[in-house]
Order: sequence, then C-alpha cells, then structure tokens
Amino acid sequence: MTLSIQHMDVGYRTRRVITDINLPPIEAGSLVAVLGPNAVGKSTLLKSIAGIIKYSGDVTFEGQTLSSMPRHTFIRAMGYLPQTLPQATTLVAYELVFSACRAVRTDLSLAEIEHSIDAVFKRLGIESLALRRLAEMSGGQRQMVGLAQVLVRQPKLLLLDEPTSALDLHWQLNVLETIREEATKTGAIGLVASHDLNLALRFCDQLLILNRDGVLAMGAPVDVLTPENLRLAYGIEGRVEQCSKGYPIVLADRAIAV
Amino acid sequence: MTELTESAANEAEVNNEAGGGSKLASDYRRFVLKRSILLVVMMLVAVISLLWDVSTGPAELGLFDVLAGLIQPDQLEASTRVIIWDVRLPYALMALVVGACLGLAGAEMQTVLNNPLASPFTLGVGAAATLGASLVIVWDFTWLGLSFTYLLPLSAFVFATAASLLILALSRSLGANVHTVVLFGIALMFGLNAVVGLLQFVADSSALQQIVFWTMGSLARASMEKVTIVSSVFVVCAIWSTVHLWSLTALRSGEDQARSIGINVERVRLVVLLRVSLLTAVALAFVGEIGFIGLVGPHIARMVLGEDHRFFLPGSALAGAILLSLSSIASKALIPGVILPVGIVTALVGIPLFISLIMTRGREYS
Repeated sequence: MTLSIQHMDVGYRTRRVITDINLPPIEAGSLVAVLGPNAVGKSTLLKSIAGIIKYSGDVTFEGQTLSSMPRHTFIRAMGYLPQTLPQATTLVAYELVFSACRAVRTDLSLAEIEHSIDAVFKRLGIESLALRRLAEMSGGQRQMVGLAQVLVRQPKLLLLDEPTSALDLHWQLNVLETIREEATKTGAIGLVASHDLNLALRFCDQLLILNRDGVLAMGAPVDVLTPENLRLAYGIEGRVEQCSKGYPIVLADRAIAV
Repeated sequence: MTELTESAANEAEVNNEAGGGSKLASDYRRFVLKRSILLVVMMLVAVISLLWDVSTGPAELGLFDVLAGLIQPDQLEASTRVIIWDVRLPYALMALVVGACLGLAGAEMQTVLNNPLASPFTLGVGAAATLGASLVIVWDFTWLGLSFTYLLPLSAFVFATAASLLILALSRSLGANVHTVVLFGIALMFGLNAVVGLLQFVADSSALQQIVFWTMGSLARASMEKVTIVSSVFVVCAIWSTVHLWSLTALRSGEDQARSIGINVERVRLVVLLRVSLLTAVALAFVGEIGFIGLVGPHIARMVLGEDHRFFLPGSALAGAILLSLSSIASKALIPGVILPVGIVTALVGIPLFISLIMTRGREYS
C-alpha cells in the first residue's frame, strides 16, 4: 500500500495553486504532516487527492491510479476530513456518524457499523457525546465528532485538514495519538495538514513543507524542519531544540520581512 | 493449560467488547424507539383530526353518526350518505394528502438548500405552479390530447420545476445564503403574481373565477378522483425519497462533510428539487395556493423528531397533514355556516409563525 504523487498540478479553473508536485512514495502506515503558510495550497492538495476538486497528474494508491478507480473502491479508501466543522444541527453525534456509514458504506453490516462506531467513540473518549445534538456542542466537540465519522469508516487513506484547529491541548494530543495508532495498526496512510509544528514533529514520520514556489522540502522531521526552511516557508527566524524529555521542539523567535 | 487460560481470557475480552459494543448501540436503539413512538402518536393525531374534520360542517352530524356512516354506509339515508361520502370525506382526505405533500416537499427543500426558511411557498415555487395552472385555465390546451384534469397539474409541474431550477442556479452562483435565497424567492413570487394578474386581466369571467379560486386555496372542489391522484403521487414520491434518506441525513452535517464522504451533493440536490416540484405542483393543482404548511410542518417535525430523515421526512409529512387538516376544521368552524377558503386560514396562522422563524432560526443559520 503506497501513495505516489507525480507531476501533480492542483488548483482551480482560473488559478493554479501548486504545480508539478513530485513526492517520494509514501509507504503504508506512515503519517505525513502537510505544513506551510496560509493560502499555500495545503487544503487544495488534500481536496484534490480526496476527489473533490479536479487535478492533473498521476496519483496512484495501491498501484491503481486514483482517477481510474471504480467509484465505490475510491469512496471506501478515502477518509477526508474537511476543515469546516460539521454544522450545528439537531442531529445527534451518533446519527451523523451512522448516517455517513449508511449513505456510502453499503457493504458494511449493521453489526459491523455499530461495532466500529463503538470502538471509535471509545478510543476518542467521546461516548458521552453520542446522543447529544450537534447544536448543543462546542466547536471542538463537533470537530471530534467529524473525526469520528472519518475513522468509523476505516479508510486506508486519511486526509485530515487541520484536525486539531478547534481543540484544546488534551484533545489535540488525544487526536494525534489516535491517528498515529490507527496508521501503525492498520497500515493506513495519513496526510495531516496542520499549523502546529510541534505536534507534527512529534507524531509524524515525514513532513511535507509547502511554500509559494510549491514543494519546499519533504523528509524526516528533523532533516527538513531547519531554520533555513522555517525562514523560507513561514518568513520567521526560528530554532529547533530538544526539550528535557528529548523531543524536538520548534521555537519561533521573530517574524522577518519576506 | 496456559493456552486454555489465554483463550478464555481472549474470549472474555471479546465478550467485554461485544457487551460494550451493545451499550452505545442499545442506547441509540432506545433513542430510535422513542422517535418511532412519537411518529405513531403523530399518526393517531392525524386520524383523529381526519374524523373531527369529517364530523365538522353545517349539517348537524355528530362524531358517532359520522363513524357509523363511515363503517356502514348502506344504512344511511341517501342525503346523509352524500354529505359524508361525497362532500366531507373527500374534503377532509384532500386536506390530509395535500398537507402531507407540502410537508414532505418543505422538509426536503430545507435540507437540500440547507435553509430553514425554504419551502415551496416562500421560494415562489407555489406561485410558479399558480402561473402554470392559470395559463391552462385561460387558454385551451386540450388539443395536446390530454384532459384538463391532467393538463392542469402537468403545466403547474413544469412551471414549478422551472422555478426550482432557477433557485438552484441562484444558490449555486451566489452561495446559498439563507436570506439571499429567500429574498430572491419573494422577488420571484411578486414577479409571477404580476404575470398571473396580467392573465386575470385578459381572462374571461369563468376563467377569472377559476384563477381567483386557485390563488385563494380551497378544498371545496375535492373529489375522490382528485384525492386518488394526489395520494398516488405522494406515495410514489415518499417511496422515491427513501433512496436518499441516508444521504439527506448526512447532508445535514454540512455540504463539505457530505461531499467529503463521497456523496454527490449536486446530483442529490437536483433530484430532490425535481421531486419537490412534483409534490408541490400536484398538491396545489386541485386546491390552489396553500402557503406556510411546507414551511411550518418541517419545523414542527424537527422539534419533535430531530433530523434523522427516516423520521424527519414522514414526521414532516404528518405534521403538514395535521396542520392542514386542523386548518380545514377551522375554516368550517370559525364562522358558523360559512366555509372559508383554507388558504386564507393557513396564511393567517402561518404569517406570525413565519415572522418568528425569520427572527429566531434565520439568525442562527446565517
């Protein structure tokens, strides 16, 4: 199970966002953080792979070109979490997750769905939210429900667009730990767009750093998150140091003119 | 020995998991059961309302006379039989099925346009149906080889569909902002009403009378044949809607969310709006414009049953049916001896509700 991206152009009809993306093959079970400043195309890249916007180039998964995959195989493989939170409606969390499975995963039996929902809600620690209306939840809680909806379908390719943007520290760690575990256990590949460099450093196997010129770097966290790349990507002066527990951490000193 | 203990431990773990697995699922089943019960209660209310409606009218017939008459029609006097079977029952049944059509149409429309103020009436689909009907009333199109009974709903359907597609195009190009779409619907309604006014101006007196009847909305010309046509369309649309139940529920979590799981949102929207046009056109074809049922029905259903469309859609149809049935009772009971056009009653009750919805729900969603 490998994801390979070659000569990929992404963007909209009137505006190309990133051109000619060529990445080394991404192996099963690996988690890749997609980093870069605002408006650089992180979301656009994930949406393109998820089949929501058109792209050109070759993207293959498990040896099959994504664009030529049968629709149901494609839907089953993809687990895309959009940046927008599930909207605040009178739906309860369980219904949202259940209906998503019922709508597109007709191959799963009722027992399988129930079992999977139970496992995911338990793993994420959101069982108490199951029968609560989304309208009564905080943004962070809705984000957790959105993530549960993705994980319940057990996709082989996780495309998560800022999955921790609305979460406090506890839930940020919880989410990243869960995704990490899921990837390691099932061999799923995860692409996680994020602004949190420290979470990325700690949980991801590889970092893909984008800037205005396209792909700036891709590789193991400590190799690519250098002061030079921080400057080129974000326009900041920064350092990567080791904390007392031995984890690498990024310290941003100041913004510089770009 | 060790192996045995190990397998026993494994088994215990599996059992535990299964036990835990049934916890959330069984909580949810209980939750679903509660809703099923509420749905049954709504059905009972609809039946009671129907019987009440049949026993209301200028001729003094008590509930028991009516019940006896419905169960054993051959024991009735001829005049009473005509009143119950040919006047009151079609009238009351028509209120139920038309209300159900409008309730279902409104619920589906609110979901696909993600707009709590959407309904066939507020977005001008009803007005378009009126224009379609008026055209057929004013000019004779029977040379097309269809009888007037079928031509009228057909023309209403064509115009209602055109209006729905226009709304769809607009919400796609301007973004489906709650208020923009409703304002556009109101503009469309005024525009269409002006054209209908023009038709009234050129129409002869009998056509004019029919158009006026249409715009007021009245159950008075109900017959069993018309009830059958409307019910058949309702049944077809209700069965057809089951195809989209899960997609529609998933759509309630947001358009991006629905698209992210692989639902073809554009396609669902188009198909559902076609169905909404069909329901609206057929419902209004024989009774004329009846507003607000399609707007208020879904809100009641949402409050009582939530938005799992397995319950929300039938609940909304039932709420619509109950509302129109109660309005029908009111139209006969408000002024003794006079039967008001039911469209006037629904408008009088609906306008305050509509305004309160704009003030509260509209703000939440915008």
